[in-house]
Amino acid sequence: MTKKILVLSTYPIKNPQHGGQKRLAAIVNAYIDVGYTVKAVGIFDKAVYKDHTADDISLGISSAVEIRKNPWTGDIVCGRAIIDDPHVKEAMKKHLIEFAPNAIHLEQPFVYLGLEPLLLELGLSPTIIYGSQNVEAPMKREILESQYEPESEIYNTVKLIGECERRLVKQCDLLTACTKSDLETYWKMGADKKKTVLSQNGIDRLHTTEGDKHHWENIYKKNGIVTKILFIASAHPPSITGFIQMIGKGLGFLAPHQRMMIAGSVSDYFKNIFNTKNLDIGDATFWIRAVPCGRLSESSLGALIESCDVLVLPITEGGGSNLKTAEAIMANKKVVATSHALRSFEWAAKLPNIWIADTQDEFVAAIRQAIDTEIIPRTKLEEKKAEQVLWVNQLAEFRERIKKI
Amino acid sequence: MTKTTWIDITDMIGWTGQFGGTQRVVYGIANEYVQYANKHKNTSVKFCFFSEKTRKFYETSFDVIKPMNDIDEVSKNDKMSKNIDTKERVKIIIQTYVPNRILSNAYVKRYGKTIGKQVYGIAKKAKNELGPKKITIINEPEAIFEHNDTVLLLGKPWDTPMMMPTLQLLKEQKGFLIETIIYDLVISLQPQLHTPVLFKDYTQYLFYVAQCSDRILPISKSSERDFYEFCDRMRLPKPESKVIRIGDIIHKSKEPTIPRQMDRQKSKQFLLCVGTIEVRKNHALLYYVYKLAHERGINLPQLVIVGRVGWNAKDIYTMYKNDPLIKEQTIILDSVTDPELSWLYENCLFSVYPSMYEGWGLPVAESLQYGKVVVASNSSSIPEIAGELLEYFSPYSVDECLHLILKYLDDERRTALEKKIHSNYSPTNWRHTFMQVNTS
Repeated sequence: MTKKILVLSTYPIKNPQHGGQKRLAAIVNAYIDVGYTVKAVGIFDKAVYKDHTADDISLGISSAVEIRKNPWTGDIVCGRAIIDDPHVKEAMKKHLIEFAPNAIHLEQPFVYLGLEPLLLELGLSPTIIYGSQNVEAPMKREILESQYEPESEIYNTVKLIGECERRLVKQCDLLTACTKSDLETYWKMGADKKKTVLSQNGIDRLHTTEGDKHHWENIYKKNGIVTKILFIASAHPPSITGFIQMIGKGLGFLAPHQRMMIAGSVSDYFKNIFNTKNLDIGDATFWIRAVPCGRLSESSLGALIESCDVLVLPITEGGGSNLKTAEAIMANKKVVATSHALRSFEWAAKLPNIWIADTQDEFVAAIRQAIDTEIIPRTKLEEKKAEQVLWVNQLAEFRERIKKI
Repeated sequence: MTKTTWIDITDMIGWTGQFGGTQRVVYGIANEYVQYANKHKNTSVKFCFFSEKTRKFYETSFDVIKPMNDIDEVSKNDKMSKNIDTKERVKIIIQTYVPNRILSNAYVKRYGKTIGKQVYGIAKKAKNELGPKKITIINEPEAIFEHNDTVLLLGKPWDTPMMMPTLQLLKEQKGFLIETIIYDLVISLQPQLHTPVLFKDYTQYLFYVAQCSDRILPISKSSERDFYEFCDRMRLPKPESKVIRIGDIIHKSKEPTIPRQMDRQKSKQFLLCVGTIEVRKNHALLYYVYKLAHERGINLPQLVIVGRVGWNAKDIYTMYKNDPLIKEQTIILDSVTDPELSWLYENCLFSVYPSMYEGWGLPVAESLQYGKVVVASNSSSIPEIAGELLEYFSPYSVDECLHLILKYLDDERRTALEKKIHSNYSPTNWRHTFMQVNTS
């Protein structure tokens, strides 16, 4: 009889777009590869995620309203909905009873806020696998502070997540973390070293279609774009802060035929905030040299990456390792990154065509240098090294460990 | 191969009114270029304009610019140009022609805008359906800028937002030179002092100027400084710069006449403040200076303000008009002829210029040409006009301004400075400006 695993998260993973979705999708594939029967259930906000499966559970009205009020704690609302939102609770109970999983994988700690009391209520005690993406409590503090939330609110929220993480770390049967540093933090929290495994973030090989390539070529031709600098990010506060801190709105250093291509949901976010209503000279001129590419399909994004000249990773905060970094390493393009962006990919700094810069002046100078420098071809050895970032390699040890559960 | 200097006169095409500030500059420099080219046969000067619809430059001749109008024609607002949008134009017409008692009527205030919008909508629809259809036919030949040519931008290309991107593209293909005059950066760097309508177009224009100009021609060191600050903030390249002094000679071809609204007997002693009533010109400071003088028991001479009510100035205008203490001491003239302005300069005790920001500050130069003292603010370009010849105050200090006004109300001191101005200040003619612009 095959083992059954229920994978829970605060978002669906159908057509994964952001890093968290992609990581979880890769983990689900790993479970399938080793023979598990998997049911992936995301407790999600319909307004944010359009793609989902019949197994995913959308929030009830009251939970959705709560997210509108406090968008930066939406993951907590989703997690607590398992016990607090009657619609979500019913659906989750059904999954737990009818699917009857041997194990439950919790991606990030938030779902445990509601699942823990529900398991108690139902008298269930399945094997728990905790998939960490970050040490969430300090990260949540950074996000809430950047949104100027009141300190009392921040304190309570951070305490709630911190306590949940600590319980989960001690109670889980296997913990997988993204970075060595996260792993060390969990050991300090009391995690059993034998029950932990490092699974750095990875990517799948780029794939694209001729149609997508033509789409971008036409855009470049129509707008006289020759050199493309690419920034890919979700509208996640650390991505926004990083861009503002390391590049800023003054894109006058780009020549008329050069453009900053902005892809991912950050593109829509920038379009909203960089507008001339603010009477800010940076807002008024930003889009002269920047192109909003919006959210893209995997194939279109693949074509965009393939056609760009320089990838920028202006990441200054946030834990975990960044999928964008892995993509940039695998893309074999010129890359300008902060030291923080190379967190857990430190080895990549030795690859050719990579510039590291940690102040705005240095970062912009590095972009200019990268534009003006011919790309150096990788050796076979370097190619092989770069391939470490593929999911298949990054999750190799995780696969071995879950076989034994 | 002869190098051609192309002068863009886009904002002069079809112009019928009195020249505004920038148009005087375009005309003044262009006229000198024509005269110079007539005498130097190896010099080639051509004129061009840009069509926003076809996104092309066309060749034209200097003759299309009508020479400066008869100076006794009533000064027209330079905002009434064909480039201003209809909404703004209607606003200006209403402010100019509709009496204040009607504008301040509660019923008009409440429903006026809605009714006006509906009437405008019906008129626009009727015009679209019944009127002739607009077709852009340009008979002039396309202007071809060659490798060695220079394109000189002296006017207001920000009114035709596609001009700079088009020029940039052409320059990349042909490699000609671009030289651009810089008036001021108030719209972009001090947006609180200017109507926001032009913010986007003007700021984007500056971005393109920095990226594609080979040389900028700021009209003051202050404008040069501001432009380079803009470049720094936007990480733009800094083009070479040559600060030029624009022509400011006043042509006094007619006898000065007393403005109709003024009484010769009552207007024996007055201070003069010339400039549109708007936030930037800082009429509020003068208001407080007069209030402070009252509080201290000082009786200041009458204040004559020459200027229409511009952007965001209704509040200060109302204060001047309704303050029982001030209204008796103030005359606001919203439209004067050049001979009337001459009379005002000639007969004032001295002029006051409290502006918070200028690219140059023409009323200061004008006042000096009449041999009059100017009590001026020390902001932006203003001290560059007369340097140490004048004394300045902070545009934010009522005390400093009042102190200087009182100082020059003293006949002896004022006369001494007038003599100094007479022997030390000389206006700039357009030939001099041209010599600075033309490097060939």
